[in-house]
Amino acid sequence: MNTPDFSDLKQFIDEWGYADAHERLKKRSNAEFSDIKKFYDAVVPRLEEIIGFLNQYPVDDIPEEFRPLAYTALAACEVDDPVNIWKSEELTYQSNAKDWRVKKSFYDYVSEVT
Amino acid sequence: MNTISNIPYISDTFFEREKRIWRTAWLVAGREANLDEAGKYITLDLSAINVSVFAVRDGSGKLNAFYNICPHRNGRLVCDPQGQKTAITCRYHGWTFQLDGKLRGIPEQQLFPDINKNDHALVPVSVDTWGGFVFVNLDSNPQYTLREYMAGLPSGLETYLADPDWHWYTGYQKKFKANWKDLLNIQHEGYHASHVHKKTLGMYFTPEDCANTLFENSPGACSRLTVQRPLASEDLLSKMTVIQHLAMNHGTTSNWVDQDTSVAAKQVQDSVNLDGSNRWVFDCYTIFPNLLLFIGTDVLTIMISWPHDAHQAEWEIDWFHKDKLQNFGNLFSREHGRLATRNALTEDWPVVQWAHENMRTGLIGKSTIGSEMEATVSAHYRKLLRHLDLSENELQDEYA
Repeated sequence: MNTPDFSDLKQFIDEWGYADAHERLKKRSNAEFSDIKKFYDAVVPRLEEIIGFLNQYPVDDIPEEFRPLAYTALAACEVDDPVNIWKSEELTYQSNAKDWRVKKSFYDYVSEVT
Repeated sequence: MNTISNIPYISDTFFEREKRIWRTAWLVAGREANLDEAGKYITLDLSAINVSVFAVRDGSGKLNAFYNICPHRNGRLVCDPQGQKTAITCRYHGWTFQLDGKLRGIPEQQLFPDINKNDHALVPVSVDTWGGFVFVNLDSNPQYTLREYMAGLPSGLETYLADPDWHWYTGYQKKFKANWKDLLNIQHEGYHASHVHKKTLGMYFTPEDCANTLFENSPGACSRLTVQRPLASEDLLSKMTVIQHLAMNHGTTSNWVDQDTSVAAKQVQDSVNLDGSNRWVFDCYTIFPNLLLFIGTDVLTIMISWPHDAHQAEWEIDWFHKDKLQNFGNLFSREHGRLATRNALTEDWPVVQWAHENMRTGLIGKSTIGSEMEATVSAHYRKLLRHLDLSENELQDEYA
């Protein structure tokens, strides 16, 4: 498969293509809604093409150069509800998940008893 | 409709009595797949009663569990949440124990000329497995075996959950200002979902969509909440976003997937989706005291609530998946499903914390429980009182 031209997404890949899922959440949570909307409008129309392109590789062996593109596609999942339902970067009345501790394993439990 | 007292959720003195639960109930400690070789161990810290235990596979293949306490001078034996050792060596003075708990070596043993090593073995804890989960019980002679404790659950569920292909994916931990039972009570009832989750799940759930089965006669199994995609949501397919469509088309884990959910039921008979519904999403089992298992086709979400005191609890959520990802599209679908669940969960916790704060005013003193969609709440309440050998009248007389 020829590599499609994703150069028009470079700015958004640079800004949103975090490998870490929690970093993608923090990026969305800390962003202005107008920037979230710009990201959504630029990336979502290309998502089907991105997924189709990346599907040619084993998911654990996507070439290094295309991994930020993959992370950017996953970041699009973060902005779906904000753009389409919340009309805001955050939900009202929530326990913000960016403040939750990300576990490193099933057994990674840190008691906060003081 | 019935009412339950707010006392067990707000009383500090009740919390002290409640500590007995953590010493007599079967508690989930981990997955058997993580103890598949000699010397592999997992630890469980019960901070509410200041007890740490660990489970370890010995050389004969037997699973053992012990208090994490050296009989020499009470040092901590195992300091990591999981790992593998050829022997258990105390961090304090280096006393060494075999994987079956027997004392093997004492540094400078001449300092203890009269010691009988047989009198200084590790203190055992009851341990058993069910559904691929390792459970421990601090009671050396539990009232019920683990199998008796799980009575009432579908015959195939244990096999379904024991599949070694379930692999941990990710998880969160967070402390909330609420009682540990408050955290369970919002998760195993469907009544709140239509109202609280308008901006995430965005569906209207009827009692039929959130059907409850109660296991009143089981010592440990409380209830099953079976969630189906609401019929009223069928027109939502036309309102789906581009991303929701993509998640649906590329995997099985998105909440929007119109999947052949009977697949899971066919894999293991009498396990999940017992009615063979084509709208089935997941079955949520509440296992007393603090374990919730949300069981889907390729996703197992585990929630555990741990007490700190009557007004603070630690919540853990872990996602496990069974199917191997075939491509990036599968990962996209999986992430989308996880984020949909996470976003809904973020809406739950302020509601729970406000309710706990309000309960503490003592103004109402009780909670009114709906007959169908909230029945799991009162089922857990009854299991709690029964486990503590406490009648409703005694609860009022002793703690009101």
